[in-house]
Amino acid sequence: MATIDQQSATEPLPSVVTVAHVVYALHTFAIVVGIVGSPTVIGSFLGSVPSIIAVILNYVKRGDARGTWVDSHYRWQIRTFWFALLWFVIAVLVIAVLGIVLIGIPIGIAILIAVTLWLIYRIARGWLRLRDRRPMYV
Amino acid sequence: MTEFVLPETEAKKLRDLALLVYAMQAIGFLLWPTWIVGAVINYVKIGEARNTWLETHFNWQLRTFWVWLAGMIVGFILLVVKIGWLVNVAVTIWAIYRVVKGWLYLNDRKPMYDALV
Repeated sequence: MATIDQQSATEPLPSVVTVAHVVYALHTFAIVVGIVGSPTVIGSFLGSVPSIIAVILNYVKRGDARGTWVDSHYRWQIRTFWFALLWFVIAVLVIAVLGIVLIGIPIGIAILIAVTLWLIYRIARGWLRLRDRRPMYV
Repeated sequence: MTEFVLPETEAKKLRDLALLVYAMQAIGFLLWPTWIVGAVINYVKIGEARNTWLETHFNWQLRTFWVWLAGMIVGFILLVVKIGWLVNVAVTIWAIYRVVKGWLYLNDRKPMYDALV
C-alpha cells in the first residue's frame, strides 16, 4: 500500500499494537454487555468500566504509539469514547428535560440507538483495519 | 542515589510480585479485600527492592492503595450528605488509571518515577 508508507515509517513496539487490540476488545465487551444486560445495574456498571479502562490504556500508551501508524488507531479509539459519551449525555439530558412533554423520550431513545449503531461501526471498522495492520483516516 | 542492579533470578521474583500486586489491585475493584493483600506484599518486600527501578513500582502501588483507601472512607462518610458516591467514583477511576499505567510500565520494565534513575 503506497498510501500508508509515510505513516508506517517507524515500526511500532509490539506492545503498542497489543494495547490497541485490547482496547477494541474492551469496547466490544462493553457493547455486548450493554446490549445484553443494560436493564440491570450490574450490567450497566460492567458495560461502562471496560470502556473507561480502554480509554485510560489509550492515553497512557499513546506516547509510545506516536510517529507510527498505530497512533491513528489511538486517535480513532479516543474519539470513539468521547463522542459516544457526549451523545450519551445529550440523550440523557433530552430524556430528562424534554421528557416532561413526552416528545423527549422517543427522541432520546432514537439518539441512544443511533449512538449504539455508530459505536458498533467504529469498533468493527477500526478493529478490522488494525488486524490488517493499516492506519485509520486514509 | 545510584541504581542498584539485582541478579536476574531475584529481579524476576520481584517483578512477578509487583505484577501480582497490580493484579490484586485490579481484582480489588470487584472484591476490595485484595487491596490489603497487595499492600501487605508491598510492605514485606519493599526492602528487597530498595534502590532498584522496582522500588518505584512498590511506592507507586502503596500510594495508590493509601489514597484509594482514604478516598473510599471519605466517600462513605460523605454519603450522609448524598455526594459521597461522586468521591467514590472519582477515586475509583483515578485508581484504575494508576493500576493500568503501572501495569503497562512494569510490562516495559520502566520505573514509575524518574528521580531514582
